[in-house]
Amino acid sequence: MTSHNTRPSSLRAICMLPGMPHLLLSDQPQYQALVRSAQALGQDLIQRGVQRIVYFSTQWLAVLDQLVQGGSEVRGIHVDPSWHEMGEIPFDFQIDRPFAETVAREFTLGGQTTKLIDYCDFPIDTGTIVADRLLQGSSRAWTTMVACNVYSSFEDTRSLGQMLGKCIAGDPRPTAVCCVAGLSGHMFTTPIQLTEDTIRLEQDDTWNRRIIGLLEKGKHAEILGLLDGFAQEARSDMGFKAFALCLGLADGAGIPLPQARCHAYGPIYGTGAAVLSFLC
Amino acid sequence: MGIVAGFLAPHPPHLVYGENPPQNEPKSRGGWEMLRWAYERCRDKVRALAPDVILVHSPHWQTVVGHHVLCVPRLQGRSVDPIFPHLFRYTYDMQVDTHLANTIFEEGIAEGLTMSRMTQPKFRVDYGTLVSLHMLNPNWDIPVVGLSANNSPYYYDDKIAQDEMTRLGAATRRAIHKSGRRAILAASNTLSHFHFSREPNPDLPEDMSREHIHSQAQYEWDMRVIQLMREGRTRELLDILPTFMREAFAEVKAGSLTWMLSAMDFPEIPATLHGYGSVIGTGNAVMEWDLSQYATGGSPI
Repeated sequence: MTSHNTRPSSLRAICMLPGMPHLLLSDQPQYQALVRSAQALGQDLIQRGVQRIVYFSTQWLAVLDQLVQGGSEVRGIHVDPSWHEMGEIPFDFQIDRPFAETVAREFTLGGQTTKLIDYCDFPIDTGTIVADRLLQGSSRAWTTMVACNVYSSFEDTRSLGQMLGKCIAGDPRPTAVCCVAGLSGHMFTTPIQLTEDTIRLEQDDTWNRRIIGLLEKGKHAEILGLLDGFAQEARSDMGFKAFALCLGLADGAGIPLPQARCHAYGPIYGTGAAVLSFLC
Repeated sequence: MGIVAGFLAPHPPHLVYGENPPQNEPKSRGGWEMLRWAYERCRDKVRALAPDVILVHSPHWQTVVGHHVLCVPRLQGRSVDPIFPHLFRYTYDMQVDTHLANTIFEEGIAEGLTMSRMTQPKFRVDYGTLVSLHMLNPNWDIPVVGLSANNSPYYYDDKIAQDEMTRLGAATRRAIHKSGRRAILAASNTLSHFHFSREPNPDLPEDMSREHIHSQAQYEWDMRVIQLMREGRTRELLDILPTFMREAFAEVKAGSLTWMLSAMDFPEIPATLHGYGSVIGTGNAVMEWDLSQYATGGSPI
């Protein structure tokens, strides 16, 4: 809980990571900056005392309800349906069930029809698994996951972030929230040599750098005015709802959203990807 | 040998849930009987036709780069539907006709398509594939081939996308002939696809007093499309599909129906409607094209 004394907020960091399996399953040099920076960020979170990571992934899509992961056994082997040629990814999450219940309760009180997911073999999305493996390696902080509802608007997602931020602020366990999302979304739809990976459209690169620059300067209002253009011209990942969640989190935790730091930026199969942190 | 039948085989997991088969963990009081009983007629037909293989094209196996085919001899696992986990937690064990899958791969390449073989044994099969195959053959005693839905409809315009599916269908037809298989095709898709944004009765998902088509407009679209299929007016159907997709959010956009019609060489025989019903507001039709009866010289397509 944020206060006027020296006790740090439970919300220690917000970060944005890409969730494509290429970062784990390919040894191509052009992905290493993204990989190394995500790993270093993970180390930094540990040093900041983070004991819990909440994931919000644009690849975990909800349609009917808002979903929160509360399962007791969330482990297995994952094969991405589109990138299966790249191989398997093992995963093992230690879910913070009491916190997940708190979050689900808060969402319900906030008017969201919410389901707490606790099913053996419930599919965990590639993005969450990739981000977790990059941030945590073999460590196992407490985690939970919040789904990205396809039909939620930017403002709906921001409200969701507020509710989540409030839960984190009201809980003593130091927490980081990781939004798993890309930037521009024009992927190559034909095979490419990974050594030749690049942002598919020049306009996408322009858009990505512009958005990153504004995040680094903390010019959030300006970004809000650009969302439609970013979506239409650069096919931003889920309409950049990840940013909506970030704004909401800060609101809910009672702190301003800090200026971002961009640790790395680059292409993943044509899309724009960045490792960003907002350290609270 | 060749294609003996095609089925429009929608995949709402509610149909498996309503049936209470041993493979599915959640249990129900029934529900969606009209559609499930429609599938019973298809099951009888599948058994009578005695195919060597059932091929299914599923919108819920989405792939970005090209068209993919399942190519592992045996796939086992448990599939939990990410949207309806309370309805569908299904243990599957399927034999894949990898010879035919490889042939489809080769013919797709020859057609100029981007193709890929899925060879990971721990791959989790999507619920669309599983539901359609279960509803057609719950004994799983016929080998299968699963094909992905390439995402080109969502990256390019509908015409380019449907062209891709048409070529995939042609490649599939050639592959089936080369393989010597007696094949049944399944287009795993719903028709109109606007749906409820909340489950009408979370305490009883099978509460049929709350089940209805999402809108009159959707219903009219579904009837128009079904009537064209019943009259064998396949070419007209293809012409209106883009508008159907736009106005009714039709799941045919994923390409399964176009793939199947193309593989069957756009048959002008009347399709049989076995049943129609809504599932959380979407429109679903179970339909059959029996090619074994109408093919020239008694040979299938």
